[in-house]
Amino acid sequence: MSGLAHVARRNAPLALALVGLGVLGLALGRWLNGYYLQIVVLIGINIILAASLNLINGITGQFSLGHAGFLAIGAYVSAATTLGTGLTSAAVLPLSLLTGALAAALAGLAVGIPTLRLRGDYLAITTLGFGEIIRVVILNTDAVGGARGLGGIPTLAGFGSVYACAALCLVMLWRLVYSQRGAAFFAIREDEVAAAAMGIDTTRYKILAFVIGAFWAGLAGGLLAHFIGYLHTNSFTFLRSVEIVVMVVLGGLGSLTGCALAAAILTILPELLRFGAEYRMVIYALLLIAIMLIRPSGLMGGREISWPSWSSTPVR
Amino acid sequence: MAFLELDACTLSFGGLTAVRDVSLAVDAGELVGVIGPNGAGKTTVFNLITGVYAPDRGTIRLDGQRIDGLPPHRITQRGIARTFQGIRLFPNMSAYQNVVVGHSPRAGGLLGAVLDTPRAGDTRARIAAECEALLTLLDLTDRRDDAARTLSYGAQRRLEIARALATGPKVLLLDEPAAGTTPHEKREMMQRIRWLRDHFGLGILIIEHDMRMIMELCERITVLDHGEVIACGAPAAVRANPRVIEAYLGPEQS
Repeated sequence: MSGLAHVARRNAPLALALVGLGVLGLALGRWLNGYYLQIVVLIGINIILAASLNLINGITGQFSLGHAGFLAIGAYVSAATTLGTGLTSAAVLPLSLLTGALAAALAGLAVGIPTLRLRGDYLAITTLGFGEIIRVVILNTDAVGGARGLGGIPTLAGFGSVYACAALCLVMLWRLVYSQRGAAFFAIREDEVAAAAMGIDTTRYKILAFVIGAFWAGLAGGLLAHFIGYLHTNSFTFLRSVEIVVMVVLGGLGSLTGCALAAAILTILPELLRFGAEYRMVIYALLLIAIMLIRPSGLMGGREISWPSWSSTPVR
Repeated sequence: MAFLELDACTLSFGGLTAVRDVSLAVDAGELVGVIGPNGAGKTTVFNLITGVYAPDRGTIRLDGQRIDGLPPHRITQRGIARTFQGIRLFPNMSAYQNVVVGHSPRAGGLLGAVLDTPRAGDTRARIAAECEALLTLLDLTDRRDDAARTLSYGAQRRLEIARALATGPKVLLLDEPAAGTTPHEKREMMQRIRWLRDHFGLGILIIEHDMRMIMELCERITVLDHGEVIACGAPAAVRANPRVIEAYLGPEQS
């Protein structure tokens, strides 16, 4: 029992922060205009996506280009779950999110086992192919709307639920990779042969990273579905995967706080650039190039912004 | 029966036989040297023992149990640790983190770390202390937080040993631990290797090109040439062996 009490005490600040975010969300929903609120919520979803891909790409060093595929699976499965129950109360949201996330994690396992034998470019191409397959399969599945898209999803997610999930995701990943055992993830990125010589089952860790990354991407998908209320396969193309990769690279490979920062910047930037009308995306691309020239190893360069003490001590 | 025993191991890459019928034994607390000209198959023998390759024929036993064919991480978990000829540290991780990775497979569950359970806290403190002790042992405390790639060559060699010791080995395989270091560092390294053997009761198998060092350090020496054992025994006997002299200096001109 004292063990449970200890866990509760150590995690109480986290729980409190999550509740606080929920309350803040309610307040924001009342006061912030819809356009700003939407950007803020999309930042939260992108933080989850960037952090989860960072575990795979930046921390474990397995270059995946299929994150939009996991996002799509989570989005469609969770939307289908909600629509299937016929409920429109927020009580169904946790169930739907979890179903979507687990489906994505399962897909991560199925894709990870055969593909993680591949390295570098080969893995990137294979995961890219996987993402496209998912998209095309959904496009041709009439049960989830096919090319018409899937509409009428109750909009149950908002600032509170998105940021509660984002906070949970960051804390979980942080504790995972900065634990002594989690140092194995970085070790695999640094030198796989040496990592195996340290007694680390590299295949298992790579698959684990893939499954956990897919889980959170699926959860982000569920949040997206229940925030926008409408899904179409056009939102899950290869370009979406690239967008997430850019967040990870810009933030600094392996830096969780860095990729969260990059997710925020890259979500706001296109909105700020609206003055440029048709040149908007050109300016966006130029800015990206400029940032990478000035800071070649990303904004945070693999380091972390310091983190509250309750997140448990990182291995430093 | 010796603690680590290779019995008639053969490994071929296509038509090239890299190692032929090699037998080798290391007991606890024993310092055994492996020497031979370049390309003789010394590192390949290390790769066989650590599971990078599985032998085509022959067996490898640790404490009486077959370990040939096991994947590298299982062999390390059974108690064989190694260093690499071309240093293979985790370059962007700090010296301390490198050592932590050696401990990682025995560092408690990931779920415990995520939930921050008290047991995870205890294990964390114990392992942190052990890692600090290893850094002290190998004279690396002042470089604790520096990225491994920024360390001097000699310090990198020492960090590789610290990292290997963190896996809790019974047998340590050192692949040219003194290569590229200064004469002074070489002296220190020899003392250190002896101390490790005495202190931890380790069986140590060591590949080295520096003849003086290996003759002085090892109780037994195995000489490889073209993948075969051409001599085996005490340093003095090996040094006098005509086949060894021939392998190193070429056949005598008449």
